[in-house]
Amino acid sequence: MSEEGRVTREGHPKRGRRRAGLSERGVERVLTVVALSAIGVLGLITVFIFIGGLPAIAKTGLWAFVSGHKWAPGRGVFGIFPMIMGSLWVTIGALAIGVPLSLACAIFLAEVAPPKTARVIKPAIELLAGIPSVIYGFMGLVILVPLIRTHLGGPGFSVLASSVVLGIMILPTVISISYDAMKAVPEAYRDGSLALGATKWQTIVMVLLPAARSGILAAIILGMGRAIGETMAVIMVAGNATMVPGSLLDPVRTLTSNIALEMGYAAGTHRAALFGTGVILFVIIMLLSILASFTTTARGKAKVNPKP
Amino acid sequence: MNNRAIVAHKVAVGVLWASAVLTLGILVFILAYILYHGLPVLSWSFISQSPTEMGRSGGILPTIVGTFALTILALAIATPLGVGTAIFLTEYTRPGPLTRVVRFGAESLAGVPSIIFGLFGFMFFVIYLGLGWSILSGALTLAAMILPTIIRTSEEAIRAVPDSYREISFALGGTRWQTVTRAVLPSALPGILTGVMLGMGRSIGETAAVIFTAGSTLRLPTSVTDPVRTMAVHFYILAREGISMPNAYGTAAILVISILAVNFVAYWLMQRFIARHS
Amino acid sequence: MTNGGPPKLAANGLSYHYGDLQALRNVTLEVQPNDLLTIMGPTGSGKTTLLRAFNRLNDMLTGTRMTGRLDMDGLDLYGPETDPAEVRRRIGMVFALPIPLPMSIYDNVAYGPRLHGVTRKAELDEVVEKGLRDAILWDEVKDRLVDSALRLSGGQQQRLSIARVLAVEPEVILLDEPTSGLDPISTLRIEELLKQLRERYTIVLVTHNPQQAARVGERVAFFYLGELVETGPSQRVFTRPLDRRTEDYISGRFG
Repeated sequence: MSEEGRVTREGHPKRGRRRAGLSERGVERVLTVVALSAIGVLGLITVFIFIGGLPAIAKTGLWAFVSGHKWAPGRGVFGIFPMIMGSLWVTIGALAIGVPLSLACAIFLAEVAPPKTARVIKPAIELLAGIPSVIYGFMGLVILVPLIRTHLGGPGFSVLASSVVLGIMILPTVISISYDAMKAVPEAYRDGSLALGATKWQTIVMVLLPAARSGILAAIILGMGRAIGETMAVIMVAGNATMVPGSLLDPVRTLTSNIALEMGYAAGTHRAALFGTGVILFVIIMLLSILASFTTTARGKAKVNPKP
Repeated sequence: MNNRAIVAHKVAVGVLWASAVLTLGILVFILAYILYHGLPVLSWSFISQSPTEMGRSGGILPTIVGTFALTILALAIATPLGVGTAIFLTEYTRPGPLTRVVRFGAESLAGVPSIIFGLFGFMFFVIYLGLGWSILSGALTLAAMILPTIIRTSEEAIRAVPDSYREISFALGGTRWQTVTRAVLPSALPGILTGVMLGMGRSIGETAAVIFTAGSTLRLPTSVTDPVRTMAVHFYILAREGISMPNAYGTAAILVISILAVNFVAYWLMQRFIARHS
Repeated sequence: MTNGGPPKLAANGLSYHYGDLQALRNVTLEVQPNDLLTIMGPTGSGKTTLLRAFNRLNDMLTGTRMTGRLDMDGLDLYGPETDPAEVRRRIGMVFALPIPLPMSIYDNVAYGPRLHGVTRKAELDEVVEKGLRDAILWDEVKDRLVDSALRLSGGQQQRLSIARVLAVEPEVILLDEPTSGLDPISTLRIEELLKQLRERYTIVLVTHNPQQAARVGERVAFFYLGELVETGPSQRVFTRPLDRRTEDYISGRFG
């Protein structure tokens, strides 16, 4: 049954004679072209980001570009190592803050929340996803940065501030995908565990989370992508100094903010170096994206009981 | 069941509740904070007048016009493409290499950061196609960005339409296209519109993808080839450069109200969709 | 059985596979114009597959394989020149569960005619009324044609499904266990309706209920595990079955 396609005397209705209006075959052709729009755009993005960035990377040398500690556009020195480290730091920070909170919320929604409560929380989380990055960044700027400056020291604009803002921003992504993964665990697994006398919490830890782990992993990877790719919010709270941060309270510049901060006035090799930064970012994101889709297809295959 | 397990369970449930309350609290705090500071700034003149002194005084009319012009044009471009892709995936093909390619494209595009869209839009639309900083460049960039959202929600909505509707239409002699347009799409419409509204929300709030494609001019646009500054960009510039905090709050309030309205409509449509299909 | 001209519907050596599962085995069967043939058999006997093959509804499925030939008025239903949409218009199909499209009663009945290019309001009004009258539903719904069809009772919805089929003026009506979800009274109304309709249409009714076959059919065919076991006038089949399996079935030993 699962074997595809051997249809003798194949009689797809698309072969049908033309009736009023569009011909079926014409419709199918148009739709095929339309359906290729997303992959087409992806292809264009790849081509044009590379066209924009390769000159700078070629001029500096790939290794020098990614490992160089100095970013001095005025002198034509382009090393993005601090920004790579910056992105890494804030992403790890965001995951450290966002993932536990997200998983707790997802478990809460999937297992603990009374239906009425869930009906309030779910749209709220969707709304959280809809709030513009600039608003998050602004909240970080007026609330977090002063808070950190007064209580923890340093300029306030810091890895910590960025991590907190990004940690909140990845909540909707991680919550909704891991929630779906938890909901996909068959009810029988839970019943089996509960019937053995386990508490709900033991069931969650020993049965639910292991069963949903690949989905949760995909959620974390996608959240990571979101954190690495976020721009405007980070710019407003990170301080943007082009140095490798030494502590959580040091200012930091990410790959994304590097691009956004200087694109407005950059030209020539400088602009190409910003596109080069984009190339590195794009490659990281694509790798994460492939990794995430790999974990989800692995989950799809492992699913015992796909929905009828 | 031993006592330790029960205590652990109770503590854990407490922590889970706290997490949910914290998340909800963050949302409420952000909204309340922006509206608390922003609503007092709002007035008819703030909405209906152009800014003066780079936004230090005056209203924000051009940015409202710019935001909605960009958003509507982006939706007009992305919706047919997204819904068409969804129809292709659900109604016109069987799973195979082609659908895998289409899906890979949509899923990867969904993960591309907005700053990359901004770079791409700048390089491709602004420079290469020579569209300059304009509503058109910005809208095309935004359309590329929201395309995956519209594809995904439309596909889900179309898949949720019972097969029996299709069979009835086919059995009455309908062609595939007739079946799609007359039996499937009307049923899937609320779900599709939910996706469109989500795309709209993203467009309204987007900054990084539009700042390098639509520009940041404060003039009132007269055609799609004019550059514009969106509310989000205006807010960013006002706040970051410290031009005027009250006006930044006012702009943020309108931004947040727009987002709330869009999300509310999306939610309402989704509820209707669910009600219809259960 | 034959009376000269080509049969309205004919299956010749029809075998049908869903992947590895064989649903029909070498079935040869004829249905004469204005015949009311009842196909009975237990679940899994291939009855529904036969109807769906005639209506070309299984075209949408993957992994199916068909051999043999299906004809209507001597025309190969799967011929390269045959338009499946046209086949489906001429051969109407009523499904087991009454499924109204999520629109008004009027729009449900007008759905088919609109597909085939009827757009004038007056003309549509006429077809809708005729369809509903023929399905004996008109009097019950004439004052609320704009209401959602989802508000009708199960029996009314199934008559609406029949009206929807009648509105495209098919030559043959296939019914796939149309009363399986209905109460006894609604079932009787549908059976009465079928007897009236056979004057103008060729009808094939599939049922898993031998009593219904005995009540409705002039001719019955008994299917078992994809095989056509026997066919003949219902009087004869029910009193003197030729095959042991038929006898077991009608005496209620299985199915």
